[in-house]
Amino acid sequence: MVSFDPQDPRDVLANGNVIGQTDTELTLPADFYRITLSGDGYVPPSWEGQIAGTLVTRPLEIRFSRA
Amino acid sequence: MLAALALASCGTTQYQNQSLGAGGANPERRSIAPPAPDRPVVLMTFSGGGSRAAALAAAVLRDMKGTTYVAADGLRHDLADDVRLISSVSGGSVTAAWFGLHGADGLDELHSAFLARDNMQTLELDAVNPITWFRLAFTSFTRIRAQEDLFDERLFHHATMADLNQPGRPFILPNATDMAGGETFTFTPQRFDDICSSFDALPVSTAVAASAAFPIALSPVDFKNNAVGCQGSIGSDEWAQIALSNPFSLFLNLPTYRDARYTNDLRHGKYPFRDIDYLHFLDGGIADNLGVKSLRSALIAPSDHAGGLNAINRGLIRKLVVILVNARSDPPSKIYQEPDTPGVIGAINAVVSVPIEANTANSQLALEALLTEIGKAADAARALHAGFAGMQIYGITVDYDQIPADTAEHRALRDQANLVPTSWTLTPAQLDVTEHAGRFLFERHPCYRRLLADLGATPPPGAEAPVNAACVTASAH
Repeated sequence: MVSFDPQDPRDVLANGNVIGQTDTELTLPADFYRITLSGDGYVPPSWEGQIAGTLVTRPLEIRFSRA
Repeated sequence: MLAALALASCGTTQYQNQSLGAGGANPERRSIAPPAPDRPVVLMTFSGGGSRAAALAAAVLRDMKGTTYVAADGLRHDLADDVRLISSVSGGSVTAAWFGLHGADGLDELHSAFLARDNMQTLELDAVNPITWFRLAFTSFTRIRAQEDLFDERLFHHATMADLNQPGRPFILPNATDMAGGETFTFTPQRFDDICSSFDALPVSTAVAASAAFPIALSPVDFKNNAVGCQGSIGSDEWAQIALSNPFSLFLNLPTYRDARYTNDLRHGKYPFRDIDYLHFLDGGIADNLGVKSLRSALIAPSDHAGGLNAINRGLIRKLVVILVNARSDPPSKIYQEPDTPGVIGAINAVVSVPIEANTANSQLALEALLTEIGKAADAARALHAGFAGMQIYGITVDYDQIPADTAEHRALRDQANLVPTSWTLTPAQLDVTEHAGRFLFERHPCYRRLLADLGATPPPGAEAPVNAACVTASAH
């Protein structure tokens, strides 16, 4: 789950490729990812880390907020 | 003739790809998303096996055209209209490319123009023609070009990949094997970015011939890697650089790491694993005879421009249908009746075929496991805010091993289907039994039957009776 301002849904990018939208649960193959959002005006500029071992019922939550 | 063939390697190699000029690009114009969310998304793989594979795939597509349902728009559609992607190998690439150009309405013409014709005679007549010897000996003409010419003359008539790469058309992904590295090379705009070559300019017959360049019998299809000094406007390889520069990917996701490494090598990137200046393609079946790797990438790889993962996460795919058409035949082996140690020919046959069969079985299992995993995730997410929540999965395999031995009629179908050779020529009886086997296996599959029920669809006239077995990839309602 990648959280941002619910009033301003953004595309979620994993390693530069669009994989879904903010504030919905997303599925991804296990790997190391750099997560960013479309557009600008958000912080942090990116999130980097391993995404593995998560479950639909126990997702990893990555938070972005307005700059 | 032999002298001419021996001299053939002395000719100047002709590279069949065109470099991307300044500003040239490889746009991807297709989309995996369905025209409406209630319409199923059908992804298919067609295996190799010469005209047997081409005919089996065509029989399944014809059955899909005969499977109709009324969608939410109030219009009657057929299942062949819902095909969004076909990953293909060798003989399967013939039908895949034809379908991509002409749709299901063109299947009758495929039958008359290719499947029912004696294509081997054309190739053999060409082989004994003195003009061919001259071309082999003194020009850049190669053995694979004869097959390529056959495809172009009989089927594709100078069509290029641009004709396949059009909005609204399905992704057609012919797969070849990079004979030096053993990598699967899939003919996509994205991969052509890596070698700085024009995807749209490539003749369809070249892609299909590369996918079907059976080793030893045919020479490889040759490409030059134009990545160094590329002037074209190519896509970013950020995903590959991230995969290669962190210490975790090779433990978390080795297949993606390997793909990133191959992408970096093709682009002549930093710290290459291999220096790739030229590519020589053989039959895609050597690396992956089912074409599963490309389908899997299109479905779940974040970096794949087919965008399957994005469509799943956005809830654009509500019914995912994955159909594997495997034309692997298993003719009786005389080795079982031989008390003596098999000779060199038997050993060579085993070395060529057994690993391909084992690889095929493994990749089939891996895809089935992936579909089951996605289905479970979709089921578990029903109460959550996830686009893929409740997505239905239908995994359908068409494989001669699924012809039962319960009746004399079924045993005869099984035995006759397994006797059909791998060749570009089938007798009318061989063609008939192959098409019959395709219809039989597809129409009886429990997941096809489940799909029919869920869509409220009508099967083709005279369809086989259903088998009372569960569709294991579909979640419970």
